[in-house]
Amino acid sequence: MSALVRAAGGSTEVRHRGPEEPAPADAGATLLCVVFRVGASEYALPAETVLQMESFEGATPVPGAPPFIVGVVQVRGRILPVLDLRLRFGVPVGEPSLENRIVVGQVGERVVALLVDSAREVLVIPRAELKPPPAMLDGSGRGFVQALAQLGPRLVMLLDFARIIEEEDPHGV
Amino acid sequence: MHATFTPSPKQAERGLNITAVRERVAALAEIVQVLPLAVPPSPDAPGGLSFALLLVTAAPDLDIAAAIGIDASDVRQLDSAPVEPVPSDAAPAVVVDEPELLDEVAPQRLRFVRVDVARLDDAMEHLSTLIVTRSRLARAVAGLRAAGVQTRELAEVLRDNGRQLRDLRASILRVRMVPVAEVLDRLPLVLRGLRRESGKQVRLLVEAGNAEVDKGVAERLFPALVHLVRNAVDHAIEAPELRARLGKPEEGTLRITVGSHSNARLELTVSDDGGGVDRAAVARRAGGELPSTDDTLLDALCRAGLSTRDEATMTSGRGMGMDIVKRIVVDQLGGELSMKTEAGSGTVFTLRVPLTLTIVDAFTLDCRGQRFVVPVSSVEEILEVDPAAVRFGPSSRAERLGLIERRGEAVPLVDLGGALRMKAEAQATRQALLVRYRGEPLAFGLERVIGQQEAVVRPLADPLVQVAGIAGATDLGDGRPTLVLDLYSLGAALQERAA
Repeated sequence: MSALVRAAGGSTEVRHRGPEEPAPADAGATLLCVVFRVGASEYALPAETVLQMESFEGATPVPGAPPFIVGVVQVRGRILPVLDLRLRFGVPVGEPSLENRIVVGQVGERVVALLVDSAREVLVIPRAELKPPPAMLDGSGRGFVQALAQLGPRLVMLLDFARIIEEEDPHGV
Repeated sequence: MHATFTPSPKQAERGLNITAVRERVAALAEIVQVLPLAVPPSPDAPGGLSFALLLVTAAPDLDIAAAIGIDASDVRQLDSAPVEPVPSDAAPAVVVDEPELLDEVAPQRLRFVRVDVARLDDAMEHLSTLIVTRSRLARAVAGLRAAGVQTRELAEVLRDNGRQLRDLRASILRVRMVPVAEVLDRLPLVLRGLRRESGKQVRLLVEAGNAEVDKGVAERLFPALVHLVRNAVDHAIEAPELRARLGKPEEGTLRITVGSHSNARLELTVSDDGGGVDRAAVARRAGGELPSTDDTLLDALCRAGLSTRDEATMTSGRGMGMDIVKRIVVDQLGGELSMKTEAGSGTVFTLRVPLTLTIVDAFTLDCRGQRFVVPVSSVEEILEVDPAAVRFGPSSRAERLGLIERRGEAVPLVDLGGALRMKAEAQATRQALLVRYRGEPLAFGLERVIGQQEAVVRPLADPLVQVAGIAGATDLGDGRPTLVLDLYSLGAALQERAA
């Protein structure tokens, strides 16, 4: 955070906020998240990443696409790939149900729909509750989980959307 | 003075278009203004377009007329006083006062409207939704008919509606068309910079004729042309001293021609009179065998990051960017790219691209239980296949190539589902789509072709679903995406897999 202070002489100087100054009220103290379930676990994405949620009525298979892509769907005139998070996370694929949802997320220019078991909730997570994931959890090296939050009895894993929609797993990371 | 240049095939034959005229006249005169004028189309002005040139010069009429390719009597002096010779390094005092001429220009100009492309896209988008709605309507009527309802009048309305939509589509597409010459007009500027950087002498001949292309296609195509021009100057055309030693004119020639390949495709050629592509150098770089044909040589050139030069240069860096050219022409525009090269005498690149994007006439078909569409323009013929008459040659691969007879000629038959690597089980091949891949016939076998309809093609923008052979998706009225196949790129992918 920096502020421009215009001095009387017309010159401009940049003043940085010192560490003792409090952060502006609210900004950054909490994180608004969309929470959904895949298998037995709960995951979250920052609400600012999520464009919308839709019910899932099947996708058109795209032959030759990566195995975790179940196909494409049309959402408001746009054709979006649907990435099955069960397949991506190595969870055995369950029976399709009416609870299934697609969570449409955007990072940069890319818009991808994630297929999840169910999604209902928007949750405010205090940033102080977000802890780095244990190294063992991230053993695959893919960095899908950005942070963990233990909210009472619930454990919510905050996902890194950009990593999840990467075309290939990065090597040697 | 005032002179008029009217583009025509006759002028184009002599290498004269407005760009060439500008360059030639600029050498003799100070160009005050070049005004495009709409004129009634005639044999002399088939494009209905003419350019008025206002010039300040001391050069004789005869020279100016020769530069423009017109009779000296058609050059008019606007000033009764003799023109003072202007020292070449001093800025000429430009005073143009010719009310008569301006009167002539103004009303013509009023006939044109400048439109933001976004507005045209908008109109196109609305038309697209209309076409999708029509598909839904047709589906609903078919449902009624199946339920035993009398639908004759409805069907008639549908037919009229379909025709009107086609007319509307044609009108909007026409509005979006821009002269190819206008796109190519930006190339001389690019070339000027390249000439300066490379120290080579190159002249550009452009024969664009009256061809027109969709604005969206033109915008995408331009970077590919810049790459090809760059490559020609940087890699193909030799330095003046070397050219002189080889007995070539010191000035290299780069020629771009434009023509209609068929009524749905535009063909552009970019040719140079340089040294041709060095096969051995490409093989060395690509780390493979010596490419034996121009096609395999082009494939090697289009591999990402390849350059036949050891050092990076200012203009083309290390790579030739042929991978980018291919991506634009083949992947983005659904076109074809080919090349002919001859050591010592030059290279010709041929680009064939669709004139328009987004809405195409398409065949709908079933393959392994999934519905697909294929643009009609890419299919040469639909063949009936008798499964018992398909012959298989020896093959070590899982995807066996069959052979079928077509008018006394054996044509390779590829199973479409197999080529697409579909997981569903193969079904009996009853029909095949015949396409031409690099001039050779190739048939894709499938269960059945269902019908023909208009399809709004939306690109599959995300890299996760960019797959060879799939050009995009369309909505046939059921609200679900149906994949649009690009059999040409599927053929290319098969070739790659076989290699």
